[in-house]
Amino acid sequence: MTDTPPLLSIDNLAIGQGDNAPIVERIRFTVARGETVGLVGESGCGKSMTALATMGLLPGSLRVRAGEIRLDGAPIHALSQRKLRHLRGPSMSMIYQEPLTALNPVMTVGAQIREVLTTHLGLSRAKAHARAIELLTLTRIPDPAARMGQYPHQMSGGMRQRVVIAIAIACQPSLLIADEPTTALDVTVQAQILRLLKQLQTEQNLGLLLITHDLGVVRQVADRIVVMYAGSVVEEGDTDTVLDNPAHPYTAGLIAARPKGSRTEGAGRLADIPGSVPAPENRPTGCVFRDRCAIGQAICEGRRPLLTAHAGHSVRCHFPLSAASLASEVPS
Amino acid sequence: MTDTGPKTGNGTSGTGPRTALSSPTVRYVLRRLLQAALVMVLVMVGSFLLVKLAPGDFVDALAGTRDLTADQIAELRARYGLDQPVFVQLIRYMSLLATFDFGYSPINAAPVMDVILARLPVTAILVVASVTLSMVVGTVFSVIASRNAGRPLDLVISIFMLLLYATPSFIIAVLMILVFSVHLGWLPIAGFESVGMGYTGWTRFWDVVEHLTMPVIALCTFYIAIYGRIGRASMLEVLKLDFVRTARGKGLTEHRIFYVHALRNALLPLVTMAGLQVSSLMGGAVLIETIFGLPGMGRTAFDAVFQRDTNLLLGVVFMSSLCVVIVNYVIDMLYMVLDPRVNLK
Amino acid sequence: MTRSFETLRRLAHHPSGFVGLMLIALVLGMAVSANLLFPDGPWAMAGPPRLAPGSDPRFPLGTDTFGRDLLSAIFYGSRVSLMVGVSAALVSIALGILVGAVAGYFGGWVDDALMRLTDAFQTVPNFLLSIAIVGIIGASLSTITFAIAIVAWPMIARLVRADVLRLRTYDFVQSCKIIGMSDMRIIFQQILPNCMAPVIVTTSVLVANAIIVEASLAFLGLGDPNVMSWGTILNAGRQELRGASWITISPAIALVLTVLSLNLIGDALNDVLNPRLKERT
Repeated sequence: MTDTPPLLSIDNLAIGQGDNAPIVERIRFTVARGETVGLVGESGCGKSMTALATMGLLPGSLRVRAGEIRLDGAPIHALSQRKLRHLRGPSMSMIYQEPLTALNPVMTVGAQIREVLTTHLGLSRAKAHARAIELLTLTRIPDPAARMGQYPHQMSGGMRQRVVIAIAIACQPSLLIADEPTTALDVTVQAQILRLLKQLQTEQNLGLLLITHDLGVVRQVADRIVVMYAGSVVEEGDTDTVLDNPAHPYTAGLIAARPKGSRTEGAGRLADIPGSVPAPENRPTGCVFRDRCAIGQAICEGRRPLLTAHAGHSVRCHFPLSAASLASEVPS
Repeated sequence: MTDTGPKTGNGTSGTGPRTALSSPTVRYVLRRLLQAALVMVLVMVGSFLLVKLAPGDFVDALAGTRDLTADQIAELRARYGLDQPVFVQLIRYMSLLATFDFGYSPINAAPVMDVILARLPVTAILVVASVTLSMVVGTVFSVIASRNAGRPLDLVISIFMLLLYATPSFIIAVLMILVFSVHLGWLPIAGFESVGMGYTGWTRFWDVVEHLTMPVIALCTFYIAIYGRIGRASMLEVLKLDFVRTARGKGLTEHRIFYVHALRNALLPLVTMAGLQVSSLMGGAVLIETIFGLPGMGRTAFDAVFQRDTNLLLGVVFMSSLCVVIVNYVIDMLYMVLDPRVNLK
Repeated sequence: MTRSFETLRRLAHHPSGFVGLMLIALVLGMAVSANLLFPDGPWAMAGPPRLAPGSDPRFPLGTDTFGRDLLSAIFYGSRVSLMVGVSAALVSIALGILVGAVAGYFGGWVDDALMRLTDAFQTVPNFLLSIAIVGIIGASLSTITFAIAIVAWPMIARLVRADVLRLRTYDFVQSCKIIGMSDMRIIFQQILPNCMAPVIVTTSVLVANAIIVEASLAFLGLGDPNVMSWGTILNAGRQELRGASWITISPAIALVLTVLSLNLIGDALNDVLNPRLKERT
């Protein structure tokens, strides 16, 4: 890349609670302006925590323990809540997995969209109202003006997620983080929401960090993919390169585990990878994936592999797979 | 668009003729009204039987204080229908009650309605002032405590709430009299207003306020503790919910997150307590009005019990239960507005 | 047995549970030792009237208008408070469980009828009803206990009903029905043991409330005239606020501490038996 810093750069980031084992260990990736990056992994691998850390919304006593998060080149991981507040909304915003609980049950959706506009843009109530209807129109919600006076529980899941999206794009942020935005929705609605996100991303030149466990979703919208496992990035590269030629056994396992034939369906059950993601305190020494890996050897136990270049992308494995060995299992 | 349509909410009815009765809201309002009426009937039948099944009536009480001949006693019983079987008396009483006729209070030598209407204002002032004060003060404490959760101030408030929660109203009343009337001489010990001073206008108002300060505080403290404790717990629960994180993610000020988003959700459970509080205050008024010598309904009920003035006692039971029923009904209707999710099952 | 012992052990390790248990043990000790320490009983005129506390070592809390030893009265008063408190709570729990279980299990019109009855009892101002019962039937310990219990059961009934409504849809209840177990056996053997936690938590509140109501009745002159209750002393002390306020102060402190200890135990039980609320910081 050139001299201009990437929109979001996460460098050496570690997240943890007190002196406990870190949940996220020294991860590193970037999101460029106008780029869609898919952050992929099983639940419990730390991808949501990475997103929340970026927003400065880590729950409870979780803290950024090391590393940097930079937005437009400026470090934001150590900012006070007061300063972060001015970035949330105008510079970055987030879409959540469960749109029902993400919205305040006793406020109309209109009020919940308006308050972002009045807070950050200083719009009057009337102007904010008009702008909120425009935003709802952008999200393709049917009959946007009538939705303004409704409460979240009166809407379907898909419409609620459109409201959450309207709130997120209200102040035209440059970075949008979407944390499993379609997981809680009906299958037919999932595709619509994804299309909407992709379209908004293109129109507004957003940097989109899409967190998901669904490789089909990633293939559909992401330019690049970052695969996380047990708090570490294990593979990273162009979506097509990684998905067509996975070099890490974990990525390969993810791809193999996908139900074949359908892209949007299926929650990516990992029947083909034995065991489950270890809890932070139970992570093995050496390679974090070694006790679930079919090709592990002695060195995997002794030394943690580094993220190294391999066949046009990066992978963290002592024995990266070659394209040929997997040809039969790659989805078309 | 293939989004499923909005889940049917308030006021939208299905197919068929759109009469008022087909609206779930109207049906809910009417059904609650019917339930309230049924509860009132149950209350009155129960109270009537309780009072009648016990030995002794007001004639006995009267005979204890002055000499009555057997003829006079029989005549008095006949005049008030006390010689009839209980069942007949019940039917007669209930049918009169349906026309808001509470009967006659022999002890006061006046219709029960007149006696109650004369005493109602004092109790009403006490109850309304207590509900308002305890809600406001309780909420303020719960807000301060939850904003400072885990800090020393929170602990101090929690201990204070615990003490208020454990101190019965009559103890508060007696201790306040001891401190503020006996020792400091700041507040009048008893009565509704200064007798024979001929105060009018604002002078009279402040005189009444001085007289009612201690009674109202005594009735309040327990519910201040309840609102404070429930409010704090509820606030801490709400602050953990996802939509608070969303509000923070929207870049709202902490002030707005706390007071606009969290507080309204957290206070909903407090609203439902108000009905219970009114019922409990109507009972507590008996104690407090007796201690402070206030001419209210509670004091009246207390005297009616001792003088076996059945009609008057039942009248007070009716009026105070009616107040509770009305308050509960209003709260239910209010809740429909405050919490749009309310399920009109 | 081991489970209730385990609960007790965890209660003693909870800070407010510990303080509560210590205080209630103190009150219990007073109740048990009253006739050993004061064989003459609480009514004996043992010394000069209106003796201030501290002026005579024989009467650490002083004496009342009739020269009766206040310390002795406080000790005997704890018996009345605990007895009425516990028995009224037990009666109301029994009533509440019965009504709540039947309403929740059978549902339909039975539920409707019982819930309107519950509403009715929650509508009448409770203390007014208690006064009416005691005033009309006559003041004795059993009337007072009854008058307190009859207004306190609806809270338990609602708790139990809600739990039974939830539990009766569970598979184990359905299979009991299929194998032909009788309704009463299902209710008492299968369902009720699973909804006791909230009832146990509420018990301490019920006892505390009963103690307050008993004291209030006695304060109004509606106590059992044959027993010395804290309310009785407070009633007498009311006339002496100006000259002998200690007659009011010591029973007031005894009453508040007893209620406080029960509330503390209730809070602790809630934390111990209700793991959902444990994370409260």
